[in-house]
Amino acid sequence: MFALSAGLAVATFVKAFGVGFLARPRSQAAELARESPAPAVAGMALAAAACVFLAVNPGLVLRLLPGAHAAGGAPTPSLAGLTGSISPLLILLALAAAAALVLAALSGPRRVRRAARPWDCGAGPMSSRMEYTATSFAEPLQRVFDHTLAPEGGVAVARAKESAYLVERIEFRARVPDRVERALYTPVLRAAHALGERARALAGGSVHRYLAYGFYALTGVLIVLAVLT
Amino acid sequence: MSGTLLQLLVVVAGAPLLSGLMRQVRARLEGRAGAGVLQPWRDLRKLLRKEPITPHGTGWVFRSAPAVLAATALVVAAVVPLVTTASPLDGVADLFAVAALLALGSVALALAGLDTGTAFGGMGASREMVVLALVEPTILLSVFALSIPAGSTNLAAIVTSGVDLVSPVSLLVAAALAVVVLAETGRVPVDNPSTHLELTMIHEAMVLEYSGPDLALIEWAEAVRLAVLLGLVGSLFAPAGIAGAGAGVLALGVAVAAFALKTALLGALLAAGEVFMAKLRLFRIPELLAGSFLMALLAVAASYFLT
Repeated sequence: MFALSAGLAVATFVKAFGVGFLARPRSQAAELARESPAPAVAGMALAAAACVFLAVNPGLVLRLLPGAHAAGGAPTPSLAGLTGSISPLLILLALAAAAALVLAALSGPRRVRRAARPWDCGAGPMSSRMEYTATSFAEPLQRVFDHTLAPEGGVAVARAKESAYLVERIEFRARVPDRVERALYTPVLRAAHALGERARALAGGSVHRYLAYGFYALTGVLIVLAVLT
Repeated sequence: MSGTLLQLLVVVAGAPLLSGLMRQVRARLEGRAGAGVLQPWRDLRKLLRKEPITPHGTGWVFRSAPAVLAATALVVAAVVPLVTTASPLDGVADLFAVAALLALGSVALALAGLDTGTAFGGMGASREMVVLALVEPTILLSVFALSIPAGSTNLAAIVTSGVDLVSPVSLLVAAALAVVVLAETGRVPVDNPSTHLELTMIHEAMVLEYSGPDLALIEWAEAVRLAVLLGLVGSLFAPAGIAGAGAGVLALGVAVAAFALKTALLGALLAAGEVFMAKLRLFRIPELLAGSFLMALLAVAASYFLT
């Protein structure tokens, strides 16, 4: 389960960051968007830096957890039961060194970068409407887990009166309902609601009736107490 | 240390030769003359001389992805025991970290594909992420199954303790890992590396916008990943010849020759298999990967009950 969710988490991250931040602007408002003022960015940067720091120094947190043993302040925590060690900090350093090595190997007499139109199959400039959206990005995964997610949707084609070959309008609808919510919560909520509707008949608005309820409840409690003691 | 440097050097220089060999084997089996084993290096030289092109609307993600991919490939090549088990990075990164580094490279490319803002970039990224999301569980489970008999997830420990080849655990893991290697490197039943039709592409669609030195870096890194993964399979299931700590010059030479032989053999087998196989439909791939996941799961169960 953990293994499966690890893969899906990666896909989710790519979708969230890639579609949210790397796509072309889809509206005029998005196109004219400007960066927030420096203090707002700095706050986010601080939070991000804290996350990165903890990610490369998991020993600091692991020491607080019972069961995990960080090896005496060393930056290399190891798993209990299975031995094995990972050091995110040193991996990060190795990655940085490797990247520097690669860039150094490539930095010769360089020609300048040229900006060009992306490949559009020769069909003219691409608009943001041709780009992948979050829904289309997740569609293959949704199709893979078709039985689990049970997505709903369909295509409705309105044809022209003159000929069935001329299409006037195509409507596409797709929705992924939450099956847990539908199967577990909805029946319970509906039952509670129905019970409440039934109980409404008990409260007719008459003070005498409410006093009678109180009297019967009190008598009932007294009888129960008398039987028990 | 010197053993690891030698290993890096062999992989860096030899990985394009491996893909050249695989193309040559394929060409000969299909009745063509083939371009020769050195052709990938000639292609890389040609690409390195061209000018780099930045498509409109791309940013730092697109620019840095080739370097990230190449860096992860280099680190993985230094960690995995191909020539020597005495890597100084061995205690730093275990098999889980290797899987994560490979995934990091794929994620960098997928984000670059989305950064181009083209339909093909998004399509490639989406498909690559589907394959990655389904491959990742298999990798983690195979790692787990392999590390239970050895008692460690560190690669040097697994390789030196030796994997018993005729046990059901290692047979299941070998089958699962073979599918993983095919999916991770985008070989034929999952993806066709030599396709020119954008609609069928997975990996090639993501890197469609790259050209010149950037493309050279990506192609080289992909060759390194293929060589390392094939070498890893070779080292896990046929650890003969790998030099230990403090090995002499002769032992290192034997190790390099053994590594080259094992990897070339596996690569030739893979290429020969590709000739007789067609690419699977995209939505049949999950079935293949689910099968490999099941085998990995059975391997984990078997390693608990049969040892």
